[in-house]
Amino acid sequence: MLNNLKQDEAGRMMALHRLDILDTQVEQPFEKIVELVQQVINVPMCAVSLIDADRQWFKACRGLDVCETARDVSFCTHAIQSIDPFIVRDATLDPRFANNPLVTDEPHIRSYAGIPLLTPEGYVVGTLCAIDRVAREFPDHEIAILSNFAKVIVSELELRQIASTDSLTGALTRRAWMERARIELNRAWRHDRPLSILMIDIDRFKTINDTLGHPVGDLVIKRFAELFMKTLRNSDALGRYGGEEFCALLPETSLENAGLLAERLRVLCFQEEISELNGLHVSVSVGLTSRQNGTNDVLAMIEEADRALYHAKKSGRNCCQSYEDLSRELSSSVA
Amino acid sequence: MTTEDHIIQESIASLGEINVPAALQSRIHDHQRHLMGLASSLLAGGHSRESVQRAIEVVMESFKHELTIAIAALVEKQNAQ
Repeated sequence: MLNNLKQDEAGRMMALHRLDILDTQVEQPFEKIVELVQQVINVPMCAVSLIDADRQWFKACRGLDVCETARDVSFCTHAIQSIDPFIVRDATLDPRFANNPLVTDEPHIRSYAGIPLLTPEGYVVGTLCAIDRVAREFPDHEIAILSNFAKVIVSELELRQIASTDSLTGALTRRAWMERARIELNRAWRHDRPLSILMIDIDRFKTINDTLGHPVGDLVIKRFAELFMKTLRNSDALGRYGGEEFCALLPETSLENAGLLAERLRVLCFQEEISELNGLHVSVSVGLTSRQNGTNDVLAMIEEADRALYHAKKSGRNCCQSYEDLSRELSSSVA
Repeated sequence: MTTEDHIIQESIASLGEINVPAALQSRIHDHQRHLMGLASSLLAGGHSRESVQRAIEVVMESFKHELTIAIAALVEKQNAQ
């Protein structure tokens, strides 16, 4: 059976990012499951592979020396095209794989069985795969075992998603966002890449709650979160930092581009029509900062963005303020 | 009761000590269903009752770990509201 959603790569990537699992640390529970699969199916290599935009990343693996490979050479990228098991009995006889570097060189893959990891929304985010260095069959009972292990893995990933997702908005919880921010900032620091952070606060939110009631306040938070998530890229991460305060992590984004995005979000929020507000337009204030001077300190960046946000509020709200501009202004006024 | 029923009952009993919030109860049922499928397929594949038991225990332990984290996060969210 073909996966009806297989062409929806953007949706698939969003589903993958919602799991918030890419580039997380080695975790024993997943390692133990993979070890178990390796023993039961009797293969030298086994992995929980997640298919990112341009790579496959292993959440857990046995018998493989790497934690990721390019997507275009991965067997799993073929496996996620369908919700059915993907089996290659002899890669050297299969024109799709005969010249694949993973076949001709280390780890010399010869046979492969990949079971798609299907989320409840119907997206295949990766596979549970069993790999051998010799040509072999994967009989039905082994495929059944692998399929059941795959369901167990998805069910654990779902639990993890519950833990890391804010139930009202679908954004990451503060804790999960901080964790993601640490990972991304470390990556930006290692590769000397740009990264920016936005802190977004809904203006006069207490007044909305007091005058129109908490259900309307919740609706505003929810609608703005939807708007943010629709506007951000798959690789960005939105978190609910506090009651009506959001934070957005923008990897590979310069201060200039973060400023443009912040302004776009501000305008979109103000233009948003919410009938329950009886014609009232709600605005947001945004504070932003970018990775400067080789920092890899998330808390320091959050503090900068927060200070910029505070200044935006003080300047009349419904505006964006960068920490960099703010500190320049402060130093010139001191001088 | 089938062999897999026995194995799953024994394994799932270890969750008894955890106070699972209503919001996560359906996950327990789903997981129980997946464990049943796994136990059945392992038994059908010729694995011994003991090895199936061990496999289910490993999977259950892993699930319990995630469940505990999810419960802690739910409690934290409720306290924050």
